[in-house]
Amino acid sequence: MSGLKVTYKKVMSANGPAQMLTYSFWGVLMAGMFQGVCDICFPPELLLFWGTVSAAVVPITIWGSKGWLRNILLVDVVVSAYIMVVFLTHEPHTQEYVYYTLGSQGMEMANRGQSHSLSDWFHASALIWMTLHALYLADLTNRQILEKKRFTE
Amino acid sequence: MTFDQMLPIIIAALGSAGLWGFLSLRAKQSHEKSLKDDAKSAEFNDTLKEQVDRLSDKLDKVISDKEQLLREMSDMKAQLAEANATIKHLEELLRK
Repeated sequence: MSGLKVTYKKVMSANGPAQMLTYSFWGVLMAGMFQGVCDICFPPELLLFWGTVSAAVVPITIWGSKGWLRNILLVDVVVSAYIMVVFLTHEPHTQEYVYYTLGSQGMEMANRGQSHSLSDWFHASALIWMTLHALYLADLTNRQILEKKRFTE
Repeated sequence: MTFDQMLPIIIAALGSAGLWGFLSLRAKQSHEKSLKDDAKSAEFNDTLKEQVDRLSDKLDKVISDKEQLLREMSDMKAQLAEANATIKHLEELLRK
């Protein structure tokens, strides 16, 4: 049994390209999953760009430098954060008739069932996770760069 | 582009920049601390090396002194044996 402290230390200094490759894979899947959520707020070009940035992590991990890897992860952080903010502040673009009902409290707008569904909460959580994960990986790569510098100085 | 459309970009950029600034500063401070620790460790190693060199010199001198003493002792033993032989010879002459 590793224990919480040892596990935390291992997570903070996790080496190897495995998690970069998994992150890239999940990034592409996430971009694909947002297709059709709202074509106005999340146009295909934006999702394609997001997916491409995530996919670019694979070749850069294999053939690129650590500096490039950190920079592409930071770009992914910004794009994921942008999509997250748009999603969290998103209002449905509906142009439908507004119905009112007369009740004991007077005239009230009819409930159109537009509250956030469970799926929305999971989409939002996934976006928050993607942003934080990209940030963690960028920080990890940055620390690896500094550590390499320490041993070569 | 309206301000409402720009707002998510501004929030995303500022939020990411803020978080990244904090993380990179923390990494930089940790790196500088490691460099300082390395320098301290190097200083300690230098002092230790000096002490080891000094002790090694002392040990060489002690070994060389010991060898000289052994040589002198063996010379003395030879001289003593020679003197004993002479004494025995003189005693025999006196008895005759």
